[in-house]
Amino acid sequence: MLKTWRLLDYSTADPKMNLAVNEAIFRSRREGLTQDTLRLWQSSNSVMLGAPSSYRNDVNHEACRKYGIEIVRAVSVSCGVLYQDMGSLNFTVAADATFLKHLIKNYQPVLSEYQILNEGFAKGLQRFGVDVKADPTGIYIDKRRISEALPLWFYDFLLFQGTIHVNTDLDVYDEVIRTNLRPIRKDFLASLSRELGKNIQMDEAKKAFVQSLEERLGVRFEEQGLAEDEQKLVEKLYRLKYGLSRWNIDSHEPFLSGMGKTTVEVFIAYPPTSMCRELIHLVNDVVSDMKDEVKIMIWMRGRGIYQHGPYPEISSALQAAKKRSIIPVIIINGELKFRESVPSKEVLKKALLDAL
Amino acid sequence: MKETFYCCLCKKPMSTSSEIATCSLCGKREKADYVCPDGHYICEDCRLAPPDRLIKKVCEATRETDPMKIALLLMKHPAIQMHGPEHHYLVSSVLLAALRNLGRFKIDDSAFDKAISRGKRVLFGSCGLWGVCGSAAGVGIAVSIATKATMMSDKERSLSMQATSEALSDIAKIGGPRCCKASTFAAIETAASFFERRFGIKFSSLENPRPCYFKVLNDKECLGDKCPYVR
Repeated sequence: MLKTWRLLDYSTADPKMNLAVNEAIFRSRREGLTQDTLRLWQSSNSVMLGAPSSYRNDVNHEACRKYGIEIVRAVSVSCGVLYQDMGSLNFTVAADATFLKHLIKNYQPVLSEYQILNEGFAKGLQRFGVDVKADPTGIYIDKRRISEALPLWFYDFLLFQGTIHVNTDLDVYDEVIRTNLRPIRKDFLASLSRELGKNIQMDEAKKAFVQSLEERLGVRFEEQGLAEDEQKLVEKLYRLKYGLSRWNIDSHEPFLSGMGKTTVEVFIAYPPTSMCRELIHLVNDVVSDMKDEVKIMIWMRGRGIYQHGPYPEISSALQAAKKRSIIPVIIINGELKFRESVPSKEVLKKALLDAL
Repeated sequence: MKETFYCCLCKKPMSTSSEIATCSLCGKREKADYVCPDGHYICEDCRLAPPDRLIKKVCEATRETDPMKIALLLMKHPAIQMHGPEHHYLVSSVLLAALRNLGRFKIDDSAFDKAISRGKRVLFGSCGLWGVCGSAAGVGIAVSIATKATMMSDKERSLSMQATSEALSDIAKIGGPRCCKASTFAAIETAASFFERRFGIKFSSLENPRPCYFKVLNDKECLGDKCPYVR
């Protein structure tokens, strides 16, 4: 029996909100609340930066102002600068990628997963009669790129978000991107409409990609909407991350675990000392009336990373505290708030309310 | 908290206590909270200590003349990671502690500060990046501090470098990927032989670190049968 994936045909005009949706469906998949998902979406003119990319250096800000293009930042492991407009068809795959490794000969970790997904989308392009080639870095017509993606991994879970240039305005694309990562000129880009000399109906393109991915992945898509938890998380991610210049410009994100609960990480000694016990008692006391919104994670030094299950989420502040052996500490949403002392109840409560 | 805690020195379940106990690491006496059936207790200060403070405290307090025994005791503490740059100064500190307890060389407490500060300058991963394992450098640092060598010294400088060189050679024979525990064991064994040959100093018989106590913490990278300390 074929595995069923959710097909989410859901777009909002706001590119930031679209990226919040992508992260929400990825988190939901990681938490086992939803199935593997393919989302197809469109967004108003925007430049999508990879998480490590430079806001200042990789984009032509003057051109962005001229065309009213928003610059947004996506979660990803790699650099990248993707332009999209209403003529681009964006895709998001949020899946447990372990099954993908069986779909390819000579499996190469990470690269093969990208290859398989790009092959699926490439088959969709071939349905329009264009000769395309897929490799782990994208889809190409000759050496011109027609599709590109920004991947993110969380253990075995893959978020693969990208763009297929169906009717994308490549002249604008060429103008807005300024990157040292790769030479971008019109000669290096391709769109389906430019190849065929006509605009393609987006519904037609979506249908082609869905069918070709079904064939390549050996799955069946079932159209569904966003789950309620996902919708709530989208709002929270927009408010705390995607809607803020702190993320889009400075690449600084809050640490939220699982489905986006405010997270209090407490790093203590093993076995806990009297100060550590006092700290835990205080945190539990303060959080007792915010339990629905706050998640407490107690980490004990020397007990390894699997103290909270097989897919640990550890903020960089906690990693730094562990590396530097600073204990005990309280970290709220990835920010080290209290170290080597027990704060008063009022001070801790205020810090938590600020984070909420 | 109703969780069961296990003794980091013997892995036995600990029980709560309110008796006065002696810290198995630094010897401090205080009202205990968790004690294991073998009587092991780790004081609050040792439990909170970062690696450099812990190593200094323990080396200052110990009366042990077997550097391997001191190293094993320290490495069982959660502050000392499975692999980490703290091993670089752990080796020199335990060697100096044992030498001091044997009454050889003039080694005061400032020797441990020197050993830690010098060992900290050897970077994490220097074995692969520089071709100098920090544990081997630790043996040279111990010889340097014990003999008061500087770059202007004659024999002392040569001895320090020979000590590092011998330890490096023995550690290199183990192969990789690196294991900071195996390197520490090899460095101490080489140092013991070096001090006996060059200075006529015999440490009390070294505790045998085999089979490796830390293998379970290193299942993904452990060299297994290739490692002389697993066998």
